[in-house]
Amino acid sequence: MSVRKEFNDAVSGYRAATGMAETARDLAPKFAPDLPDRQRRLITQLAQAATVITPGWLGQALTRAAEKAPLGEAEGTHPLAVRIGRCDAGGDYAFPVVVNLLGTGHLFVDTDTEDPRVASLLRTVLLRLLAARGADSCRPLMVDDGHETFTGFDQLARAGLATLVDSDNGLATALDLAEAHVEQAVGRSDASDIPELILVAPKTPAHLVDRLARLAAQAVGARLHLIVGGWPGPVVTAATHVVVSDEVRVAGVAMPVDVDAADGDLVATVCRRMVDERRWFEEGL
Amino acid sequence: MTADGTAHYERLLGELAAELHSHGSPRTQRTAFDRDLDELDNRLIALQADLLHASPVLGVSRPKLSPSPPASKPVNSRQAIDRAHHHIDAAGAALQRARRWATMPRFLPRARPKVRHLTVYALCAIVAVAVHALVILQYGVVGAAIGFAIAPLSAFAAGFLLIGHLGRPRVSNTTKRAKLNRYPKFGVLLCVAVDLVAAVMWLTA
Repeated sequence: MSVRKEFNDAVSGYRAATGMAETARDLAPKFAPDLPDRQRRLITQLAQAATVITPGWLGQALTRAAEKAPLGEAEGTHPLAVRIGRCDAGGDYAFPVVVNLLGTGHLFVDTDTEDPRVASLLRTVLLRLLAARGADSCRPLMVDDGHETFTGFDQLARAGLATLVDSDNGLATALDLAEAHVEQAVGRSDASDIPELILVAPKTPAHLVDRLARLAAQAVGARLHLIVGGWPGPVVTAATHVVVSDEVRVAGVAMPVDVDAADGDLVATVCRRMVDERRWFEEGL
Repeated sequence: MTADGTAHYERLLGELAAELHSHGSPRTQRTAFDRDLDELDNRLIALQADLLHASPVLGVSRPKLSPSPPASKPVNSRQAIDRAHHHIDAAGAALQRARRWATMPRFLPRARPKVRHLTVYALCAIVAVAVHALVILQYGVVGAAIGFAIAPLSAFAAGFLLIGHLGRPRVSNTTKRAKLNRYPKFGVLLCVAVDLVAAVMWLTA
């Protein structure tokens, strides 16, 4: 045995392995040819249905091209569904994943924003809702997580169009504000003229789980919606539950979901537009 | 419209779930292979880097790394992936052995240094005697008599230099060059002894 012989054996092994790897790829099952007709039809119909129920900001791609799209075009009192991601069956077959939120329910994720997919999910949902409804009828109540999840949205807080509580005891403070909102809404004969409050909590301390669950039960009728990360608790009625592991799974959706991501500058641009519009409106009064 | 639209969307989701439950999800199958194929690719990239890094260190020429087709075609992707991993394991083991050999002397790596070095001298002495024999055949014993002095000296010099190359490993584990005991006295004696034996043979021939 010699150095050269052993090295040549290693090279032969490598070449055989790469040849076998190419064969493995050739033999692996492909998508489109194997997708049954019925599945293809259903996926196409789902894509069409999702587009219909999530017009404009609620369903469009969140790229720089969307910067100049009109804001606040969604009706302030109608329930709204919002896109959170996409299911890809391969080839040209994919459909948006849409959840009911405003006017209907909540969004609970079992993992907190340490997972970048969860942070992305919270940002894109909040952006879509704000851009679709406008700052007048939709007020975010955000709990800072120290991970810059709400970068860009903070300018809304400075302009009084949103509330951002810091991470120290933040969720408890936010729950106080949310409960006060519920009381106010319940006390009115017609709650539709107060803005919808969207509580966005990146994680859920164990000692606040019960309080959040109670709030969720009475929230929808009081124009309060919860978008919660790190939810360790049981299934909540009127909430869409999202499970994050190697894949992202949304309750009711039979395929893994690729969550949406928003261009970093888009959030800042849209929020700035909302602040400018508000300032222009107030100066005009 | 939104309520009807949402109900329609949810109904379609239910139908799709039933479909996937009945016929399986192609994406699920493909996803499993994707992960395995990616893992395989990562191992191949690492092995390729090892081979390219090792070739100049081991003093071998840059290898040709194009894929070679399998000797027998596997029945499915799973079998192909398993065989590829097996090849990678074997290649890795061979590269390890090559590296180990490279840390040993290039000539008679398992022999003790004295045996190795004296063998080098002996071989050089034999070659010197053989060359001298050719000269003797050309010019006769008397005409090539000076060779009896030159042959052992040149054999010793060649052996001494060769030991510096053959007695050291390709790859050193230390930054300092290892000191070699070339056994010069034994080397001289051996070269002279071989030459004397040759001389006696020529003179008694």
